[in-house]
Amino acid sequence: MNKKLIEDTFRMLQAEMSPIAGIQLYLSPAECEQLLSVLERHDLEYDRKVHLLGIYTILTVAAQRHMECVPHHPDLTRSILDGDYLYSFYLQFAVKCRELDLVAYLAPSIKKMQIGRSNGDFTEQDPAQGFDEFLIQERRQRSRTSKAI
Amino acid sequence: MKLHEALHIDLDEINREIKNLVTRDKDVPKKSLLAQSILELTGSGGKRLRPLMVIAGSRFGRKPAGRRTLQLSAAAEFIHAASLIHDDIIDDAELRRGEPALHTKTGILSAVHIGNYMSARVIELLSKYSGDKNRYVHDLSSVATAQLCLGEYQQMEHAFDYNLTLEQYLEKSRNKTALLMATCLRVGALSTESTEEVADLLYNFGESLGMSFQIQDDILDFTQSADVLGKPAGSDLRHGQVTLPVLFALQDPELAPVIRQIGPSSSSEEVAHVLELVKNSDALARTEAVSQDYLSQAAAIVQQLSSFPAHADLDTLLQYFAGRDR
Repeated sequence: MNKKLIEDTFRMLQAEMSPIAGIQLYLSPAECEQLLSVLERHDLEYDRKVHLLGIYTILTVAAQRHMECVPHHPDLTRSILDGDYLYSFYLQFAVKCRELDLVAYLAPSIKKMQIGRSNGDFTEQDPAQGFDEFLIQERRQRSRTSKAI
Repeated sequence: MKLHEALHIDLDEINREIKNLVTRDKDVPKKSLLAQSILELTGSGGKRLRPLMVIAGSRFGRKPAGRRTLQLSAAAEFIHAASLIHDDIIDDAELRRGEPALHTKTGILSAVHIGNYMSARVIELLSKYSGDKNRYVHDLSSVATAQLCLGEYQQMEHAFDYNLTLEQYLEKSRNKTALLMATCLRVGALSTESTEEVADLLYNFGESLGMSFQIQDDILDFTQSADVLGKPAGSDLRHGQVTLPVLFALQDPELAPVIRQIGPSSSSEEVAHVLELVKNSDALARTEAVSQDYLSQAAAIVQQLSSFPAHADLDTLLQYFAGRDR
């Protein structure tokens, strides 16, 4: 099941990205694991799982590319451009999947990660926790709304 | 008269808003390297063309401009400045506006993430405008920035490529420069609830203006001194950027073989020699004609918007881009 989800997600991302960028988006099953276990805890439609794993993949790879930006790196230009393109593609993809509430929820933590990294704090950050908190909050809001009706 | 004066725009208000993006961010310590670096960069001049275009666009809406328009104008400058930080690393540029480039002071990894912070801050700020009808607020950070990156990829792919076609050059320029300007006018208009039709016309106007701007920039690389440019003259050629003057010069059978010999290991003398050859050919005049053609296309769009009093502001932008008021 997860294999299919991962394959469908990567296929969708590859179709959405501009071929000019020439990026091959890929995360190992181990790298997807944190988010996959979050997705299993929530009652979500299959398409939404694809969208959320897609957003997670884009954010993870964007951050990885920019962490490669050290002096004399042979592919420095490509690493900068790939990270830049992926951060803008993240927003494009999220808009298309109607996940702007998630974007708003994740925005402060992504910003804080950039502040930390600009200041030499390279603590490993996994956005999966933010996805989990967002989905819990969304479920609570839905349940409140349905009770009110 | 300066552009913002001609447009009757309070530049101090925009500058304050740009500054507030950092100083009012409670997650950023006031004396941090990040805060100081951004304040220095955004305070070091710059024409604020993109914020001015957001405000000009907002004058075509059905509601008066408010806080949202102002925030979008500051966001446009922030996104532009973030791209400059990353551009300077890519180009290995030591100077920006005559001052040491940010990465030369902070190191590359830190500078990359300072640029990222600026983009992330814009997304955080604009995310408060939720709902489907407000999706356009993210156009600057999503579509326009993605296009900008694609222009950079195209530039990288075609470095020292003297077989570049005119169409490829125009597409690269559109992506790298014109579409962000076009988006500035469009989001400005939508922020005051213009119709989609008017917003699209403004987008097309901005695209033509942006194309003319990039082509003029290409010409300036041949005609201006290093002092005026804030970087060595002929930088484009040195870095393998095949710009429109070079493309036209390549059509001259006598010049082509000399230009084609310029590569990454060419000496300064060889580059300077080619610069002179291009300057003395008809390439710059032909390039100027293309730039003028884009301005004419923009002028035709102004005519279509002549029922709006703010069409006069578009004329002001046109005159500025044509270089009459520079």
